Amino acid sequence: MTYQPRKQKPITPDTFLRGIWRENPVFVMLLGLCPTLAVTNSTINAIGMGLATTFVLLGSSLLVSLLRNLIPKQVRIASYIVIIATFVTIVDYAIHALSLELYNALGAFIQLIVANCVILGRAESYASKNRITKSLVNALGMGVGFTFALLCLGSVREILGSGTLLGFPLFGDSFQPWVVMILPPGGFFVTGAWLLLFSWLQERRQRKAAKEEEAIHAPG
Amino acid sequence: MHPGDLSFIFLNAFIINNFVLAYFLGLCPFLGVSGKLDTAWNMGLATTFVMFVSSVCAYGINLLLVKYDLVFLRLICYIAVIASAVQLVEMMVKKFSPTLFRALGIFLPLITTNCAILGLALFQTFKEYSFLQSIVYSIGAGAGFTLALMLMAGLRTRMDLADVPAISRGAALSFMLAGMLSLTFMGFAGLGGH
Amino acid sequence: MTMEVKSPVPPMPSSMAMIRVLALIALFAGLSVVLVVHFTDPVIREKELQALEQAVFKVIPGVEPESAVRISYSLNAKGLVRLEDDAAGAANLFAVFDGSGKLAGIALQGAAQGYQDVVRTLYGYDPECECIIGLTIMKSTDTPGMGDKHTVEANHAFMDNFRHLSVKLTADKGSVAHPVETVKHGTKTEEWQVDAISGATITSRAIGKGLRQSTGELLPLIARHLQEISKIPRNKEKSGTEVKKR
Repeated sequence: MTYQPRKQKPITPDTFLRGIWRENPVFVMLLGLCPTLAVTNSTINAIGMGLATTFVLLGSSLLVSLLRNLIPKQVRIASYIVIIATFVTIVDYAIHALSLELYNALGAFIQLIVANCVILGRAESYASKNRITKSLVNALGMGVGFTFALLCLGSVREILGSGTLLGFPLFGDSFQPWVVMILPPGGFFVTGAWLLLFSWLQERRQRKAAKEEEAIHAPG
Repeated sequence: MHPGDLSFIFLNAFIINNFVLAYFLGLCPFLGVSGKLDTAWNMGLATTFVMFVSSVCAYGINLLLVKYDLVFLRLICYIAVIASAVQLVEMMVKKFSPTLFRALGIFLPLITTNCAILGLALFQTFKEYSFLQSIVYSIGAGAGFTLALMLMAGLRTRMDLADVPAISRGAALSFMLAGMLSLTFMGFAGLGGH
Repeated sequence: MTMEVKSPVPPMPSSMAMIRVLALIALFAGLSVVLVVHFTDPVIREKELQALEQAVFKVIPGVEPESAVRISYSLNAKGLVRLEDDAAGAANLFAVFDGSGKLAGIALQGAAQGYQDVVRTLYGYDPECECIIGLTIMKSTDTPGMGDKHTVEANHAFMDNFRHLSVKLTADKGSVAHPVETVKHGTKTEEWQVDAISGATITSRAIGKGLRQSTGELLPLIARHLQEISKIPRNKEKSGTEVKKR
């Protein structure tokens, strides 16, 4: 957990925004990879998974934040796990009722949202220390950031692996899809490539900042 | 081979549908503790052990839940019971076998919320495995996890000496390596399909 | 869990307090899950039934779903049991009758290990010509673009195998005379052979093997119960509307 709780601070745009970019759960914090890489072989699956996770994040943050003064420290992890598992079960049944196709595509991985470290991490390090609205805003930011990351993975894999986006063909008939992209190795490769891009951006920003600093301190 | 054969279940969990390389389960420890070979081995052992324990627990719970028609509580029960079972085991190992505890101890709490454990419990339920099949499946999955972890550790020790661009050091490179491993393991698909 | 306790631990609360909180949370969990299940379960059942029905009518060509009647059975060596619609998930045999009350075909399930995981199929069996008359893939996680459901079902040459695949029984009705056999692409010579998809041989073999096992096991049993199966149950007889109303 990288930051300390700041209870007295009001909600700033940063409460919401940091989850999307600077503390993006997937690309920066490398959390919650396990149950998600497997289902990002198409854009629609990625969106479904992202929304489901966002819902669980919001629900568990709300409840944990609401009960934060009631839960004794010794049983907090057990309480969080039960709360998270409840919301995941709800989402599981909801998706099943809404769309059989999506449910079959996601399979057991909806239930595996329980083991997504992002959610437990939010409950433990943020919701248990902050007011309800603030926790909710932060959870929403994290959820959006998570969905964004899945979308990045899912769209690239679908475009390269099936030559479609959201099911619509993008290229002509002559396009030979890179089937490997929608298979497990493709998940690793695309994630690796996105991580490269992110660390390159980060390095460039740092270099720029260093240069500016140098310019300020330069004599004359 | 028939999909229900014990030997096939083992092979399937071990290499064909390796938990890490085909299902992406247990990626956090896979990336986190695959730095050294001996740590990877211990982690693998501990995970196999926990998988075995939770597989037995999950089988029992599922029997009960199906009997009383409460399958919708499955997820909540699984995660709660597995987490507490692992903690109990940890305490017992600590008390009765300090040597074993020293080897596995620090990893046990890490593993409890490893997605591979819950994944195993859920998959064995969805595949409707019998008690014996579940146990074989859990051992196969654990062995597969250990194999993937050790292969990765071996690769990474070598990659430490390689001259790669600074930005690709760390996670990005690990993912690329894992991708290649996963590609290799795809060659096992189709085993036992005749 | 890797979370460390950073702030100083407050004095240990009494066990009662802990139990109270956990009980409260468990109560909330149970209540909300039961509520959600209560409202979604009927929808889920209805949708699954609908999906199954669509698949069943797909593998038995020539019947109009509007006027047809589908009866679910569970068939094994012990005997034949008729199931109601809400238990159709446990059925392994679906008899389909056309508008005039004549048995149009029987839908059965097949499953065998494919490239990645088990390939599940549903196929239509016509006891009159003793042949398979249609097939659809229920589940296949084999290589997308080669052995997955959509690619296989879009391959007309392969699907034509199952328009009229002979599964004649031996004279004593004890087994299938020529079990279904999958052969390499372009080498089909007999009417009980399945011409594999080139590039997805293992998936084709799995489909063929699923059919071979399922027909070998069920067709002799069907032959034994054929009289019972081919009669439309009385309470379903005139209400062909019962099935289609949703």
